[in-house]
Amino acid sequence: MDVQTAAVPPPRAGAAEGSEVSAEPAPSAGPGSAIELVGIAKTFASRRGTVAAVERVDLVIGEGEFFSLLGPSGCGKTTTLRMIGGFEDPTEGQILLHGKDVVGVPPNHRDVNMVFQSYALFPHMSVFENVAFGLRRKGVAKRDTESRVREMLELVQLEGKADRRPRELSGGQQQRVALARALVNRPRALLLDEPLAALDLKLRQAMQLELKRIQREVGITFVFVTHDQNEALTMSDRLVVMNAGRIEQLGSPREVYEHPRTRFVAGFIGTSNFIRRPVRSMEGDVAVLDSGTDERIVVPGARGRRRGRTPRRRHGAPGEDRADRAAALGRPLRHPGACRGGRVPRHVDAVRDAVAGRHLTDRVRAERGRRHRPR
Amino acid sequence: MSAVLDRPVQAPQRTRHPRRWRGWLLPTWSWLVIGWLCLPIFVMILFGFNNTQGKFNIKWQGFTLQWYRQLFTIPDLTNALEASLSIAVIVTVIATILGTLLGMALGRYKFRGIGSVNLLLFANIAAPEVVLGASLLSLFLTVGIPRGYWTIVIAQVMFSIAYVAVTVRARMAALDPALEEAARDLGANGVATFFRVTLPLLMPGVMAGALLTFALSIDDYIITSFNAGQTVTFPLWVYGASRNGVPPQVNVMGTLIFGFGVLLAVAGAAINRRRQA
Ligand SMILES: Nc1ncnc2c1ncn2[C@@H]1O[C@H](COP(=O)(O)OP(=O)(O)OP(=O)(O)O)[C@@H](O)[C@H]1O
Ligand SMILES: [Mg+2]
Repeated sequence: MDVQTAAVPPPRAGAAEGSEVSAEPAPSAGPGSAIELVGIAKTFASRRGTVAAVERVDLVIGEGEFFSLLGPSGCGKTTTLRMIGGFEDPTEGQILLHGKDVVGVPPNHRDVNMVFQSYALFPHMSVFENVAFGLRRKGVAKRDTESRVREMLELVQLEGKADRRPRELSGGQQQRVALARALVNRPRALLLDEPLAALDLKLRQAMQLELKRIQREVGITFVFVTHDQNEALTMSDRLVVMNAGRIEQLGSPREVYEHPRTRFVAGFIGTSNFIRRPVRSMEGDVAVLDSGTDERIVVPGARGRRRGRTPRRRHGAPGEDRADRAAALGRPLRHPGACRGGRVPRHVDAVRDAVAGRHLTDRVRAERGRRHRPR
Repeated sequence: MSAVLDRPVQAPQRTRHPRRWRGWLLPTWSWLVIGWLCLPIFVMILFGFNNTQGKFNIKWQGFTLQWYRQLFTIPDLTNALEASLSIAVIVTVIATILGTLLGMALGRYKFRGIGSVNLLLFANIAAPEVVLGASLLSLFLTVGIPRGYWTIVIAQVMFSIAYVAVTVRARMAALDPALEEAARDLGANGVATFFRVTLPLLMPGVMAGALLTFALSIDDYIITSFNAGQTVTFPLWVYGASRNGVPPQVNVMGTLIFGFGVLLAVAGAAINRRRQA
């Protein structure tokens, strides 16, 4: 059980480049922002008053980025995506697509396309007609339409299926038609609402690679909604973890995985256990916890908790040092004076990755001995 | 392990017993019902070929095609058929359009009063025709509208809308709203979305409603008789003639209308199958 943090492989291949263990700065959106959400909120009127689906979301998604919205069911991912696509109007806030405020602009006048969770392929049209639908609405010349559709079907490897009806295709093929139908319009951003959720595991993994390949090939911004953390961690350049209509954390997959900013993120990402044990000793910023047996629990980043309330969460703040990061983690500390000025905390809450077996510092919470009730 | 092995051995034994009587009972029963349903139609068709001599066409007197040749020799009957057909076409067009719009609204949107509208549709279908006909007549009398061709149209549209609305409502409710959103997303405006996506997908429901309306209209007697004034439709004429004996031309016309209906239904099914294939 004596586990160290060094030299642990990244969450999944391709999740993030670089071999540094500590958090890299999240690649920020950069100057060419494709989508900006400014103080977005959405409430639905329901029979019992109003439901807040999204509360104050601020987000900047960069040009050409593969960006994921990750979160549990009902956290507002779909609602956020639908607001970008123009299917819902935000109750509050602004949506900027390439710098232009598009609130109130109908979907057919927005330069983004959507891949629906149900695919929403037109059942009365052939694959070809489905893919050609958008071009025909825009009055693209017949010959151009033909060649662009063929080209797109080639990209998604469905050349021979042009005359089929959607119902004659497998789930994965339907999914690719939906993708082709959206991409053929050359949108400036593609919105994908859990496009892989209906596929079985094997196909899903194949399609994940496929999606990545296509995104690289076309170089379009992808906004990808999923409740599958593996999917988000493997595919994204950056992601946000959402909970109850709010953003919990924004960052690169590696950042979010290794340095969950809140207890929620720590619990949601990875398979982890929370452990609270008394501190046996403190070596630098590594706490050694008493496991109750002969084993030791070693927790890095357990030092440097500031006294009093923790500062507000800071999104995407790059390059914090460990002490700062530890301070930024967690909820307001209810036990002031716990570990001030290098004092050794009595007890520490640690997040333990149940798969990799190592300890992630989520929050380090010390308690006075007297108040501590052993479990 | 033994339980796994036992099961396939036991299963056929358990099903063999019921299959023995199901083997003949179900087909026999089915054919009896089908025969029962088809008998009147068969009699109608058969007696259109009856070489009847007297006024009454109820006894088989040999095969002839003369009634087909003399189909339009009774002017009143011909006029009545014409009135019925033209009314049916007008009613079908109006009721299908209105009923489709109503059914779409009921199947997709939630709005104030949706419950009462649904109840109204149900009441319209469930209410006895005599009541509908009589109350409509008193309405026309009160307002002072002269009864005739157009009051028949109004009356029939009134009771047909509910049937169209109900079939379209079911279809609309089953339609994934994302399909229309996808159309909008791909650049279609409201009109293009309706005509290229919504309407084609609702078509089976719309066609079913239209066929039902046509059939209801062409053979409606009760409501029409209240509101017809001096206008005579095919069913009204037949009913009037039945006291003195129904001429075989009626059987022939009935056969042709029936054949036309079957043709439409078959064509509709074929189109549907092709579209889905
Ligand atoms: N049209 C609506 N009317 C009322 N409430 C809604 C509506 N759409 C969404 N909500 C509510 O808003 C919240 C967020 O919904 P949303 O569909 O965005 O969740 P989600 O993150 O996409 O979840 P899932 O992973 O299950 O798809 C939920 O509580 C939901 O009940
Ligand atoms: Mg959703």
